[in-house]
Amino acid sequence: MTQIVALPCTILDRVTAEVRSASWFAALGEPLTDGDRADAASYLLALGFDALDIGIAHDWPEAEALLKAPDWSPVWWDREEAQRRALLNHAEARYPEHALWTALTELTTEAGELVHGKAATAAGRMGDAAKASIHVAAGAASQAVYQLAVARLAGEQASPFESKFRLFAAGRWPLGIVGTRLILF
Amino acid sequence: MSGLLQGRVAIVTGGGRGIGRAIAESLVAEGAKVIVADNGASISGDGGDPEVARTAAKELDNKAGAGSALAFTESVASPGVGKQLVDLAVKTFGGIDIVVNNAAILRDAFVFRADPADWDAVIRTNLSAAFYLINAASGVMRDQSKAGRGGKDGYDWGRIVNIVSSAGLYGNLGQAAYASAKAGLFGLTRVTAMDLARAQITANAVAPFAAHPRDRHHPTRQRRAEDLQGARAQDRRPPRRQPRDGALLAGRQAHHRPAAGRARPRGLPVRPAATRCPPRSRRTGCSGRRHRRQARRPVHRSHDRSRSLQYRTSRLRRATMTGSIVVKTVEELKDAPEEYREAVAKLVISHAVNELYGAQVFDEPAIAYAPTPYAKWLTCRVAMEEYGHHVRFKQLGVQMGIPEERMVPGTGKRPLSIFEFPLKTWEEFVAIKLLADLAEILQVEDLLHCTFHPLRNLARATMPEERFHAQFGEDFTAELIKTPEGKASLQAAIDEYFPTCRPSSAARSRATTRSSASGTSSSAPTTRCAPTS
Repeated sequence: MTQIVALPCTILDRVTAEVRSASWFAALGEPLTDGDRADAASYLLALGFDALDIGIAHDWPEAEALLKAPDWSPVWWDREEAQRRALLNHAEARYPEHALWTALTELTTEAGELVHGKAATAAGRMGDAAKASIHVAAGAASQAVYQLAVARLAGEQASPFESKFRLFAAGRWPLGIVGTRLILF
Repeated sequence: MSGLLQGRVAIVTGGGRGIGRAIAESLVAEGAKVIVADNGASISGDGGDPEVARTAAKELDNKAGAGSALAFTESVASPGVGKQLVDLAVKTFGGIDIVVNNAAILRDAFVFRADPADWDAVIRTNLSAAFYLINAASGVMRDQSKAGRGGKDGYDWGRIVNIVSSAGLYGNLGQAAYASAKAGLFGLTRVTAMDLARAQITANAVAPFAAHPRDRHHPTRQRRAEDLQGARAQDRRPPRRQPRDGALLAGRQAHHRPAAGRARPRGLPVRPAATRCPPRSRRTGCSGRRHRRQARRPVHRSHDRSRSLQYRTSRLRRATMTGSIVVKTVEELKDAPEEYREAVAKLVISHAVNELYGAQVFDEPAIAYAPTPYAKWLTCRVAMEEYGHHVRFKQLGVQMGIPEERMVPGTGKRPLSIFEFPLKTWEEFVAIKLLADLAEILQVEDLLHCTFHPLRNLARATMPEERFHAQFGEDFTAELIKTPEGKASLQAAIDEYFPTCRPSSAARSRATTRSSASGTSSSAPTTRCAPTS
């Protein structure tokens, strides 16, 4: 039986600092770097996928089309969700419920506003994004922050959410697996 | 001429002069055919001059083309004349779409000196005449509705505009009869709106404060005007209104299209014909707590009026109208009357109370049901924004000094709420966003003009997000109904969450009987979701 301990504020403080300093959506459509490819590979590995090709979306309309593509991979989404739920169960068993959810709420609320603004800025800069796509980007980034915080609180250092967050922090947006490729925007 | 009212037919009583004339001009300019009803009596209701209406109609014809206007020179203050007027509209122009009750007379006297005969005359012209005309016109409008006058989109027309007065709201020295009639006209407007809501006919009241009426040279009025001018020099009241301003307002009401096609009286605290909305559930991503409370109430409030949100909001709105209370900061609130402070606190609390933690939105079943990553992440963000609304209201509540315990559900209750109606499909979520979020918009809309500016500003920040959420529902609805299967699933979701859209059991029974008799399918018809174009 897991012993309930006080919520370690330092973990969430660090996540908050990383969220604030990340280059959200700053490199959308740019050519991939070696660092991007390495993070993408780590992400796939942590999710249990064999090496897949890495694709790129060049602009917002292309990204939107890929996010609506009929051959997107539900397996990818489900594996993420399965890991997130397992980590959340672990965290919930470890920390007081109220403290845990209050801290996560504060973090995601702040992050949500921040990334929404960053997504809007990027969309304005690139000039071809639908309004709803900005919300989609903000939803994806907020979820990544939440996943990272849950993983850190659960004490998991090798989760896919570390490398996923690194991609976001480097200005990319991992759009998920479509067909046989992991697509980065 | 914009042609907004092309093909519409209007009756304007008292349309020969002053505000009525300006309204008639405005309607004709928008393309409507207008009957100018004016017997040309003096401001006290004495005498009569048929040339007043004839001249007005002729000039309207000259401006907008022959056949745009018709004069009716009888007094409208008797029961049979309302029907005559409506019959004339139907016979001449083919129907009746807009009724503007503007005719009024004045017989001012202190209440202790007033002549009962004057009272009767004022009530008959200013109030009873409006009823006579509405009584005659609304039946025809309802029949037109059934006959599909509105065309393929269904009849959503029928506008009744009653010209009222601030005297009816606040009273005015020496105007017992006039103020009573106008106050009565407010009541008539509200009830008319309720009675005709199902037929998509709206009823609204417009109070053109201190307009230049045709009685501008009336001695009493002139004195009052001079008094007002003196007062205005001191307190810098807004400039005196012109008849054209009243006409503009009335014209707006005449071609105002209610939100979501729902006949909704604007500017009056009448609940729209709300359907039952889904309960709050952390699964829905929409704040259904308020909807659930609304759903438990009958459309026509019969109990606990003082506690209803709508009532409280209407009180705030009244304060806005008078400008008697304006609170610009949270700090200033402590100087406001206690009743005002409590009303504001209750409004804030009603929006702040929430049962879930924000981070739990990522467990929304709707995210799992969403068909693509695009829809999933969009749902994430929309759910976060919904939660964010509660956070904003709660933060304002904290600033106002509202105790924390008043902004959380009952003590001892788990923050994770039970799910009375857990979502089962993506279509259910879309239906909720499409329909329930419109109710959210109506609620936040009420606060946009709140005299407590921090609350007003908060509502203004929230409104664009609410509109986006309703758009979310509309967009995915449009997506779903592209296929027969999607359309059927969406209809099933609407039937599940908005059961009052279904016909009554009696209607179902009648439909079944008809179907059996004709040998067709016995399934009862339900409200169909119309495809968006």
